[in-house]
Amino acid sequence: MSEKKGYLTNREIRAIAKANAKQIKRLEAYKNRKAEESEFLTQMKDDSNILEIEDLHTYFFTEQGVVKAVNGVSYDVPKNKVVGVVGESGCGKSVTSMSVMRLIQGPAGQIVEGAMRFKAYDYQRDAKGNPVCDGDGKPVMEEKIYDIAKMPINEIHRIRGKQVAMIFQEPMTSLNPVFTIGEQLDEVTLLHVPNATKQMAKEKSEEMLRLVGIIPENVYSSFPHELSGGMRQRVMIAMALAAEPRLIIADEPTTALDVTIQAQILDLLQDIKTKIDGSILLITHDLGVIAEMADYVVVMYAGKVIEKGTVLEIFQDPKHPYTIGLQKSKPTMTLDDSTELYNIPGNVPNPVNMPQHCYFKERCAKCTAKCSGQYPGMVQVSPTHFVACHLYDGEEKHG
Amino acid sequence: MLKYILKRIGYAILVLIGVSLIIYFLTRLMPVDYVKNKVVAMQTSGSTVDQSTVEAMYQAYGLSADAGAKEIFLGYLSWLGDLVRFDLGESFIDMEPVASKIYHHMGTSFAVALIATIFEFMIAIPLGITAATHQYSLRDYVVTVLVMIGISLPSFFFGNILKNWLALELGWFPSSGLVDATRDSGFFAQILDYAHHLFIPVLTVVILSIGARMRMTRTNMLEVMNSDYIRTARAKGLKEKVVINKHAFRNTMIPLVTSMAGLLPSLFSGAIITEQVFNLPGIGNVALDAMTRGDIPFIMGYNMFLALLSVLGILMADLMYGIVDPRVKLE
Repeated sequence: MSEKKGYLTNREIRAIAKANAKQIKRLEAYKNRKAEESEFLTQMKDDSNILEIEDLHTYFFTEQGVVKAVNGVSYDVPKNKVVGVVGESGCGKSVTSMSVMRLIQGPAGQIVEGAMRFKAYDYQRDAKGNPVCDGDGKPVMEEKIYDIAKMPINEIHRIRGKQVAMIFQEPMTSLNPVFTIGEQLDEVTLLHVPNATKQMAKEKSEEMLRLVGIIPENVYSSFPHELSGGMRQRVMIAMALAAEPRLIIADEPTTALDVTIQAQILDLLQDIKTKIDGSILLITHDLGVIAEMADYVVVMYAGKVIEKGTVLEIFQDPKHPYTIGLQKSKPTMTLDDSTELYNIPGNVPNPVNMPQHCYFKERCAKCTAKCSGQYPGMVQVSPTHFVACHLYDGEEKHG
Repeated sequence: MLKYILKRIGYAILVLIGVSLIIYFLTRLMPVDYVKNKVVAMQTSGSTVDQSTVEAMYQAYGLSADAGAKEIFLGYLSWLGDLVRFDLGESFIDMEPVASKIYHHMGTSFAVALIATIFEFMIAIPLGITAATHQYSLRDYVVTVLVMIGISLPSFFFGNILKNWLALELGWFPSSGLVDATRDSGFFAQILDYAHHLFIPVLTVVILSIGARMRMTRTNMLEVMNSDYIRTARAKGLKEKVVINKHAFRNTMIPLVTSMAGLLPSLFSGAIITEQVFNLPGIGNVALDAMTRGDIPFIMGYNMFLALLSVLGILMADLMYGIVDPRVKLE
């Protein structure tokens, strides 16, 4: 049986289960530990960033083996900018964003190593961890850098929903069917604003609904199933905004919507970014959305970042053969019907047994002898443009 | 809404007529003949019964020795005619009107079933929820294994084990019956006496029924916990406790609440085997007796009573859906 590709013997399955159980136990214990605040406080490398992801590894311990869904991802989200993460399905872009929210479903999914430094605006806390208040009884706020990867899971509420909010790709199922829109929106204010009353929460919710272009009177006491997909996505955005987060993670916010609604939602996000003065991490597989929205682009492939740079660099001067292929496989409005849409040949390698060499090697048209060697490192080709490809080895250019 | 309910009641009447027709034919076709049994009993006790007496007896009970479809159908019509006049007839065995016989024996069975159901829900739901929220943990496995043991044990076996242990070996509880004749009969003393007698039967029923309910809760809860809106609730920053007890629980309750309405007939039907094991004067015991002796009026009355409750239960389940699930509109 073991000779047949893709099948595991019972012995192998048991060995995998044993190894997984050991890892999971260690990581779960780390996740559920109690820790002093000082343990997960850190410093930003570049102060203009709001989020710095460095060498993040998020694995899924499955029965077939360890799937390295995110395998050493590093990118930054600068303040007041939109960073677009692009890549095909299963490349780890959503898992990265879920890792930032610590929403990876355990016990199988675990953040194994890496750092996610986030600049939060949180209560100043005394030695016991209680918020410090000034003379008027108002809590004192200060900027703090948290390493999200090191945070115990029971401290995650410090940032989740309040500092970082998330918009999901399935508006049809992302709202709880048994509560009204109002109840679900109010919950955010009641949770994150200290001493908030029901009345305050309602006013805030209505304000947020107006901000996303919904007349609150019509929707506040409706149930989710009474709204269309576009409306529900607006509600999701309103919900994400209600706590005035510093970073919004939009995970394919327009994928499930039809084209006209997509444009509306994107305009809305653009609008909101300026209104709340925050940053957006936009995850999508749609290059058009990236071109329209993003300041910086991160291209991911099979759990790794293969190229990152400003939106102009990525669109006008793509370096990595995969990025070039992506650009070519974008449909264009030309009169010539005869040209078939380009597609990149081959498939993504099996996520359980990743090769040592470049993951794109088998599909790459520009593959050289060097590509069978080690996985290529990040090469800096301009102050903001990085690419992980052997073609550019030795072309290092520093600012 | 009123129109919907009236429409459903109309359908229910049609269903009940169909059900009664089937039950009547099945009952008459059972290889049990009340008159023949009685004649045999009389003969064994020494009295001689001549053929004309036998025929007179068949006549009196509205039966015949070998009835064809036509006779059975006529028998059905006469039963239905009585039913329309709210008369369920009299039990062959003791000539007690069927309605009052059901009424008199229902109390015990209902008490056992109601108490057992309450405990069943109170124990099974939290167990199901912990098992689901700690999926694949030691807790999940322990709960699942215990519950599977509960599902697998037959009630006559497990009931007897409990009886042997708690009543005979330890002597903490009486082994059978409902009342202790030697006790004083103050109101509270009587209630305590009932409780004392019903403890083991209720325990048996609870332990054996927890399993299915717990599995159902666990499955539902797992499905809910993996849904997108639970992820949204977590992403809001809600504590896991709130996510489970508010967002997930309300959704898990939908199938549970509606299944509760479906329990209506089982509250009144009596636990036939458990009542046998503990010799309780419940309706299940009486129904079994009627069934084995061919007491047609009682079998009909009892089964129609359960059929009516089933139909009502289904209607209630649908109405409950409309209440607990805002997505369901009843029209």
